[in-house]
Amino acid sequence: MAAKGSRDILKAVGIAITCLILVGCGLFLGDGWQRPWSLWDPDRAGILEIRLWRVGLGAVAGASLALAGVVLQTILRNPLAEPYVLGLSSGAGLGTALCIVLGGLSIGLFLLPVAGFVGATISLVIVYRLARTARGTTPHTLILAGVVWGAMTGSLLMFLVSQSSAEGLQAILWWLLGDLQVYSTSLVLWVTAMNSLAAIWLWGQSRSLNAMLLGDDGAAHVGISPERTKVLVLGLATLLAAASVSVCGIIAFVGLIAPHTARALVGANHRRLLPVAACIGAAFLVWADGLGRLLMFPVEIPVGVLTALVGGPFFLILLRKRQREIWR
Amino acid sequence: MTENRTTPLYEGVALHAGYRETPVLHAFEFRIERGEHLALIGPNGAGKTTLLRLLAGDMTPSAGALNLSGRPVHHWPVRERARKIAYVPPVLDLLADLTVYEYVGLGRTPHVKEWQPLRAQDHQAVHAALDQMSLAALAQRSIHALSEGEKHRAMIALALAQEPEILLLDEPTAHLDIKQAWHTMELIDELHTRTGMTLVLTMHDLNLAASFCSRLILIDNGRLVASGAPAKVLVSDQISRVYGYPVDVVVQPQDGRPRVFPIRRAGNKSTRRRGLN
Repeated sequence: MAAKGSRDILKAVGIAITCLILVGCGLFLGDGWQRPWSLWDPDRAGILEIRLWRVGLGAVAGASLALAGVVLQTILRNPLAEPYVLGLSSGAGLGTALCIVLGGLSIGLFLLPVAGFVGATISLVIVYRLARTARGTTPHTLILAGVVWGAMTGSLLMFLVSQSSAEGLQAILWWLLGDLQVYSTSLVLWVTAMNSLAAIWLWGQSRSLNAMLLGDDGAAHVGISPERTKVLVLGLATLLAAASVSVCGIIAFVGLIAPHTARALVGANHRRLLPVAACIGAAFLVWADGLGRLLMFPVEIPVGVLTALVGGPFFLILLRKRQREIWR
Repeated sequence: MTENRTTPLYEGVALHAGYRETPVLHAFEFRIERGEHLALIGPNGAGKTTLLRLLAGDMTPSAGALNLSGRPVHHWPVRERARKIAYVPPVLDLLADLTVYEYVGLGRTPHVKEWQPLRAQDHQAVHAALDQMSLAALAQRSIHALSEGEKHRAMIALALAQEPEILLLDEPTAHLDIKQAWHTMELIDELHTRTGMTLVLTMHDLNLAASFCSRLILIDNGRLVASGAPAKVLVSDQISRVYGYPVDVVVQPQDGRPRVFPIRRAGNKSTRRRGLN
């Protein structure tokens, strides 16, 4: 039995290491991929540095979105829950954009993820309230409420964009589509630090998340307060998603693809599921970004476009499956 | 004499409870002592499950008091309560898939710190619980791949891993066939004799309740009708009146406990036809 348990852990570690190697390989994706060693040419040092930042940001954002997806799915008991689908991402986007418009940048870049967090939290509360009927939330009403809320906040966001100056337009448009280009290294570092802490805290809640699989009463029966757990882990998930939105825009479906892939590989025990989903999310986003640079070279496809193209069909397949088939 | 002075395990005083507009229990007065093997019986909707949920702390009384060791049940901190009480629901409700071992391991939650992995003594408790429910061979199976009877034993094993003083079981035999049902009751009974754990269960099958439990509480329409040994509660007049159907009560010579047999009413042809329309 112990042997079986440690085999599960080995498997999870193996998958995680594979994903991290894939993340590392992401450095070579882009111009000159046919000659990977050329990355170390002294005259291309600038490119190596840019790629390092970009891959790092992709890994952080991918892992954050994947973790947020795992938590939203478990707590809302909804396999389709994900920051983008629930309208959290556009809420975070709107919060961030409002912060910029109202002059928050003069106070400091660190305000952006905070504003995103506020926007996303308000969105989560509103969407959850809208979706709740007398018999609780069903998967479909929650998605519907999320989509409607996403459209509303999205159009407000568009309005803000339409009011911005022409030279900034291109950058904002890219940000809306999801963009891993690093505009400010200090913002990336700040988000990385914050999200790492949130991720570790979340991992520490693995047993509570497992207990939540038993439902609210079931969790209480084994000594976990469902209300306290929900507020804490939903807060952490919202922070993870919002902070990544504030630095690289709205990237859809990573929070759907990575958690479900991880669940299929290592099962639903959050102690393994959370780290494996984070690694898969990181690898997925880094590669989606790399391929976006390669596929139509020299034209670059925004990473959000690619993840949506892959994630959309994935979402539709999940939508058509029966509840119990997805979870098991 | 001293017994009267010690606080009972559970004590309900003028207990009222219900869901929003619909009151379920009225002026309920009862005591449960340590080490009892007790069944709550009564027709559908009588309030058995509500009473069990109150005992588990899932609900709070709308009036009156329900004390556990002298302190209102809903004032107990969840974690402390989970070390004292374990609750076994009628059907398995687990969102995603875990192995049997992981599932039963959730029973250790109130004993370990959140971020701490299970310690050696926790693994020991999980193994013991699996052994007692004869699930050791299935430990690494996916829980959803088990049969109904096995799932039910897994739920009891989770409760046992909590090492509680009180085990509450809601309809532990509802979805089981005769062999599984009687086997489950035997396992529960063995536990009771071996550990002296207090057992409270709700039960539809009066004969199972009569065969295994030392006391029955008969509930009708949210009121306590009778409480006592099976032979005292299962009286044909009383059971016929409460369940609204004539029954005969016979003492089974082998164990000396009563058994209830519904008697088919004469001239029920027309009743049946009316029922079909």
